[in-house]
Amino acid sequence: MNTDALIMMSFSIGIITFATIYYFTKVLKSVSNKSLKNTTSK
Amino acid sequence: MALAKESWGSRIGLILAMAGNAVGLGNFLRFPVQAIQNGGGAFIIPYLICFLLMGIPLLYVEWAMGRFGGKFGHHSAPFILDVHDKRKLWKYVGAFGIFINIAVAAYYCYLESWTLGYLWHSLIGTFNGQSQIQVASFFGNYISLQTLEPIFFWILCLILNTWILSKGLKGGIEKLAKIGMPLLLIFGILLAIKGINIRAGSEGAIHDGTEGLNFLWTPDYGSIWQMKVWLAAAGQIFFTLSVGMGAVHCYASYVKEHEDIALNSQAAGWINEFVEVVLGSSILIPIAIGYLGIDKVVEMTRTGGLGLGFQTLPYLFQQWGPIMAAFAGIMWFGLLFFAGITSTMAMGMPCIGFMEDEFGWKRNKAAFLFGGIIMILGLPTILFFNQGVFDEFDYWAGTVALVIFALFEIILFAWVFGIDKGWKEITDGADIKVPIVYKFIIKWITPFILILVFIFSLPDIWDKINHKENKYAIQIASKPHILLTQNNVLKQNILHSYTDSFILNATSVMENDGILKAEKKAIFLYRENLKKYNEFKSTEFNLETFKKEHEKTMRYKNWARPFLLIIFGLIAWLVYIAGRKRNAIFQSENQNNSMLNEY
Repeated sequence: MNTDALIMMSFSIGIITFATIYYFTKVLKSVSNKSLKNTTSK
Repeated sequence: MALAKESWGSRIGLILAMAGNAVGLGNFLRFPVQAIQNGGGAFIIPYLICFLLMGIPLLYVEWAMGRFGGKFGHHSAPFILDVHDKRKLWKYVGAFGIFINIAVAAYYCYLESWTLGYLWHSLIGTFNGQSQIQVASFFGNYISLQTLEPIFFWILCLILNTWILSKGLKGGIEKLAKIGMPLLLIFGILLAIKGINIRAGSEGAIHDGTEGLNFLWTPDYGSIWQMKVWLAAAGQIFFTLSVGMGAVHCYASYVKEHEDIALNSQAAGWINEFVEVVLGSSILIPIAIGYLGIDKVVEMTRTGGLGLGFQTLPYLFQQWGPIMAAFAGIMWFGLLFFAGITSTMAMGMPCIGFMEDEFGWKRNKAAFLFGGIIMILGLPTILFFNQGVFDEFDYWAGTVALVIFALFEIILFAWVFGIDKGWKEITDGADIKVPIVYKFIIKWITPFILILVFIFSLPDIWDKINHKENKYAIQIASKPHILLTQNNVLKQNILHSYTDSFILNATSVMENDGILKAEKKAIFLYRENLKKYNEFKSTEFNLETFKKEHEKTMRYKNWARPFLLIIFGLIAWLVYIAGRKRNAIFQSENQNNSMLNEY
């Protein structure tokens, strides 16, 4: 692959994969925190 | 007109359903082709900018409007928009939020049924041992309704959609999303790995799979200064996120009060981007280029990605042996099917929500009504597919109406409802800190971009209204020498240093670094012009029949437009009836209250 293509691909895929994992992990954390809170309050 | 009783069963279910709404066939068939046609890797720059300045703000706005409307028991765009301002006009603007979904679902369900049909044929090995021409003609026969099979799969698809919708949010849509989305991701990842690992010389491949990635991602930075590239990027963002449709409002209206929408909307939006950019760019083009070469793929993608996805990929899968071909076919058409059905679910809900809220219909009855409407409206797109009715539905309902609705909704949210109140709605219960800059973007930048998109689309809209494409086809068929004149101009201005023989016969043009980009484009145009010229000059060609075909297409397109307008009018009329019913109930409640007070 040529360098320009590699840079564009890594940049785009990198940003998008990072953001997807970042937000989805936040959701999972928030879900587990809330279920933990519910369990504790019971 | 009872307040909302139904809500999402789980947060993950909601996010997957919203992501499923956004992920559609376009993620795999449209995005890679758009990227190739609009600057390769450089396309991602306007694409990401449009995502940040138009896609994300519209996601925030639609989720916030939906949840706000849901507080008052509204689950469809007309009355969700209505609660944001006291003027009656907005509920009629909201009628777009039902109209778009119904009109798009009418043709989209047919497209979805193709994937189901191809899934079946992959499973039973129909394409085993077929040549590329045979696979391509299979598709031609399929869409020309040579057998009743496409109708069977379409009806099956309609029944499946209606049945899942009738099961409700938790029992139907959420369950489907929880099964369909992970499967879609798994199929996509497996196909992407296989596509990228294609090796030249192995299993009939002529290029490495990475050659396809190289071609798709090589940036043409000059293209980002072209307006058409920005319009293509903005259009792709609309298509991919399913914003400006009314479907996001509807799903969000089932989110409970004070529950997060900021993080949810981002998670769903970015999952869609992952599927589109990461998976969408790693399947169709690497596999097609691996086996066909760049020149052939460039030629085939001039008319979009459907040809590659349905006419070519089933043939290319055969190169991997019968068992792997069956698996690959199931995965490819399976992922397209899941992408399609999770989107039609979202298109069905606004209509169902409207009938439940406004006319007190039960879920089952409303779901069957939706199925019935889609069947009736879908018929013209199927029967007159070759006459352009399908494309006409797609253009007016699935493209132009989205921009108009999005423009109105953001004006309502940021300017009429007020950005301060709006911002409170977006950040209420948020599990992330929403960057404050989005307050400014939603008020100023996004409406400005939408206005620009609309203004710059006007010439294209005008051309569509006047059937420019069909008229031009008739013109060049009547006077084919126009094509030769065009070729002479190309030869004199761009291709003067090449011989006729080279222009016509050279192979691997796209890979030849010695040929400039403009020259490559000119070579393909030259070849296409000559191919058309020969076709028009052949003894088999009948000008009168050709003209009649195009005139017929224009006539059918002319009928499709008022047909769509009538549908919109009927929905607006239903909204009017619903509004009157609401007023009557409100007045009688007031009367009862005052009588109680007097007593």
